[in-house]
Amino acid sequence: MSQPPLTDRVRHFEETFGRLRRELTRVVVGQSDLVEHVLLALVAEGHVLLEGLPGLGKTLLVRTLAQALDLSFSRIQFTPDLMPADISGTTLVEETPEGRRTFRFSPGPVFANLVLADEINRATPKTQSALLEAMQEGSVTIAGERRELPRPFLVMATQNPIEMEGTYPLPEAQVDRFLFKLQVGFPEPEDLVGILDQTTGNQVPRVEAVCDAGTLLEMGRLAREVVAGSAVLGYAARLVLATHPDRPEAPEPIRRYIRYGSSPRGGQALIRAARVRAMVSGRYNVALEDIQAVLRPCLRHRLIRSFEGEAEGLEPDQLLEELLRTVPPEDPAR
Amino acid sequence: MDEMELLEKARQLAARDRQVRALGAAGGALCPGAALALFLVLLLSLSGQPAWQGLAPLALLPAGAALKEFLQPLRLVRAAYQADRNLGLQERLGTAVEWLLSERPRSLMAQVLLQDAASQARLVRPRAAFPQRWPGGLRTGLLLAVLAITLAGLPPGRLSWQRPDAEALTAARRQAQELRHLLHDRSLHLQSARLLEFQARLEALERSLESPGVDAREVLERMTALSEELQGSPELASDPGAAQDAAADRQGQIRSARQLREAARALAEDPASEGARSLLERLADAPESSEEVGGVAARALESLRKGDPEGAARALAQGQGEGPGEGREASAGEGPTPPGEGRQALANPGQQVQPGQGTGEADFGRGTTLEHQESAETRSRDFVLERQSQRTADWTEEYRRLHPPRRDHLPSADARVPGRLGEGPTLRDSGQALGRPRVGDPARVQPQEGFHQARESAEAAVAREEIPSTRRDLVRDYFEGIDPRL
Repeated sequence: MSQPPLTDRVRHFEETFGRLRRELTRVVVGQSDLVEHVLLALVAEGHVLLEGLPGLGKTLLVRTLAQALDLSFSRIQFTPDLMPADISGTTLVEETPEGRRTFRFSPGPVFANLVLADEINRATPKTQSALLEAMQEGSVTIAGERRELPRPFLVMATQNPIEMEGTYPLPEAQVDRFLFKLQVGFPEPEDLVGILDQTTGNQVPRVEAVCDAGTLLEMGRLAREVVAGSAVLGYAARLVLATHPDRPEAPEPIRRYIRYGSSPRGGQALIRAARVRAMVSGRYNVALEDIQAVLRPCLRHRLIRSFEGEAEGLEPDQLLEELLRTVPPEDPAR
Repeated sequence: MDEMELLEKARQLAARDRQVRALGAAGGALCPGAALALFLVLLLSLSGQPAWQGLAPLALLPAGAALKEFLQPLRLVRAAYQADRNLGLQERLGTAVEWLLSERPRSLMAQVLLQDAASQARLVRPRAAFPQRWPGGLRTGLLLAVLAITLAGLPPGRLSWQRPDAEALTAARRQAQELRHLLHDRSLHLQSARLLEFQARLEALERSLESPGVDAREVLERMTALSEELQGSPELASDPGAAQDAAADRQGQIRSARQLREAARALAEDPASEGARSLLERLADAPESSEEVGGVAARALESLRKGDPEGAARALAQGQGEGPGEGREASAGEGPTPPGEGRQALANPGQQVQPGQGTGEADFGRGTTLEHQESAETRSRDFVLERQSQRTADWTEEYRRLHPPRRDHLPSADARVPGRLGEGPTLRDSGQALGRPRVGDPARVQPQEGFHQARESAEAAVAREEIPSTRRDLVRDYFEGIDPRL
C-alpha cells in the first residue's frame, strides 16, 4: 500500500494535532501552553512530569487526553505502601479444572498506552524505580521474563511541590527520563470563571476520540523526519553545554547556582520536541525558535541546583532565561 | 531546477553578504584610520613637514579592512542562515542549502524542504536580506577624516611649533625691504617683463615670511640669490651700458689676476721660466689690467730683469692679495658697506659687523651715516631716512648687544673694550704713566692723586675722541661716583 504524498501527510498531521488540541482545551480551561506541551511530548513519545498544586487539573488533563486519543489508559495512585509489583504486575498461580497448577501473568497498570502516575513522589524509591525500565525501554522484566509494553507508551506523572513531608523526591536518573517537566500554573481570572461555570453544572463536556494509536505513531514517525540543520543542532548543543558550570561558555549565574547541568538526553529532548513543534507549525525544518520554545520544559528538571542556588530560591526557569539571553543563536566560530 | 535556483540565490546572498561585510569593515576601520591620520597630520604639521603624507592611514586602514573581507570565500550556508534570520524565514534557506551541499541522503522530507525553500528564495532580494549597516563610529570617523583633511590642506608650517629664527627673520625682512627699494629704483628707469618677474618673486618671498612656520634662513638665502641675480643682470641695471662696461672691466680684472697667479706658480716651479716672464710683460703692458695688477707685474718683471727671482716672487705674492674678486673675500668692516651689498653680511645675517675687526675704519656709527647713504646714487631718499631712523634709534642698547662688556684676563683690573684703539692715550698708557704697580705691590701714589690724574686723563680723552654724548655722561658720572671728596 503506497503512502499518500508527504504534503498530505503533513496536512493530516496538522489537522489531527489541531483537533486534539481543541478537544483538550474544551475540557481543560485556560491551560493552552500546558496542553500544547503535553501534545508535543505525546507525539514525540516522551514522558511528562506534571508539577503543580492540588486541584489545578493535572489528573483531568491526562484523563481527557486518554479519552481523546482512544488509547488504553491506567491510573496509578502512588502511596508509600505501593509495591513495584503493583505497578508492573505479578505472576499468579492458577489451578485448572483438571487440577493442574499453572502460572499466569497478571499485567499491572503499567501495561497501558497512557499511564497516569499520580503523586509519583509519594511512593518509595524502590517502587519509583519500577517505572525506570518501563519508561526508558518500553518494556518490563518480571520473573526473568521481559515483556514489551504497548506502543505508544506514555507516562504522565504528577507531583505536588508542597507537602514534601513523607514524600520521596524522584532520583535524578528517573527525572532525566521525562521528556518534559511541565509546571501547572494557577489559571487566570477569566479562565477560573470558565472552570467554575463548566465544572459545577450537570453538563460535562464530552470528549471525542480523534486519534488512535496508529495515527499517533505515524505522527511521531513523520515528526522525526523533519530536517534539523547544523545551525539548529549546534545551537541546541551550545545551550546544553552552557548549563554546565565548568564549561567556559556557561554564563555567570549558571556557574554560581548550578551544580550539574543537563545530560545529552536533554539535548535529544530538545531536538525531538523541536521537530514536533516544527511539524505542528507546518515546516519541514527545525528553526531556532523551536529550540527556544521547548528549552524550559526540556531542561528545567535537568539542572541540579547548588546549595547556593537552592538557598537563593532561584528557579531553573530563571537560569534558562539567562541562558537564552547569553548564548547566541549563531555559532561564533562559523 | 529548484535546487539550481536555490544555489544561485545562495550565491547572490553570499556575495551581497560579503559586500556588506566589506563596507562595514571599511566603515569600522574609518574611525581608527581617521584618528591615526589626524595624529600624523598634526605631528607632521607641527614639525613643519608636508602634512598630506599623514593622510595615508585614512585610506589604507579602511581599504585594508575591506580587502580582507573581500578576500574571504563565499560562504553560502552562512549567508543563507543569516538571510533566514534577517527575513524571519525560520532557517528554511539555511537548512535547505546546507542539505543541498551535503552528502546526506535525500529523504522525502528533505526534498519537500528544498522545494519549500526554493519557493521562498524566489521572493528574497539580497539587498533586503542584507541591508547595509554602518558601524556606530562611522560619524565620528567621518568627522575626524574631514578634520584631518582640512588640517592637511593648510599651508605648510601653519601649525609649526618651531618659531622662526628671529635674527634671520629680521635680516630677511631687511633684505626684502632693500630689494624692494632697489626694484623700485630700477623701475623708474626701466620697464621690463623680467623686472616684473623679479617683483613677483620678491612678493612671494615676502608673503612666505608672514607664514608662522617659515624657515627664515632659507627665505633669506633665496632673497640673497635673488639679489645677486638682480645685480648680475645687465639688462636690469639703471644704466645698461655702464653696467656692461663694469661687468667687462671686472671680468678683465679677474682674468689679469688669474694670469698673475699663473705667473707666480710658473716662477715658483722654474725661476727662469720664459713663459712667466712673457706673461708678466703682457700684464704690465695690457690696458685691461688694473693699476694694481699692472704695478705688481711691473715690479716682478723688474726684479726678474735684475736677476732676482725671489724678489719677483715676493712682489707677486704681495700682489695676489690685492686682486679684486680673486683674492680673499671682502669682509664687512673694511669700509662703508652699502645695504644689500657684501656677500659676507648676507650669508651670515646673525653675525654683526664688528667694528675694529677689519683693516679700515670701524663701522661704528659711520658705515651707514647719512653722508654715505646720500653719496650712493642707487639709494632713494626714503630708504636712507628709514635706515637712519632704525640705526640711530637707541645706540646704547645696540652697543651693549653687539659688545657685551667683558673683563680681560690681565694682571691688572683694567676694563678694556675690544675695538680699534683711538688716537689718544689708553688706560694702559695712563697706568704706565702713573707707575702702575704690579699685583701685590704697595701703592706708589695717594688715591686722591691717582684719582685726579685718571679723571683728567679720561676727560681729556672724552673731549678728544669721537664718543657719543651718552657715553661721555657715563664717564663723568663714573668719576663723580668715585670722587673721594664726595
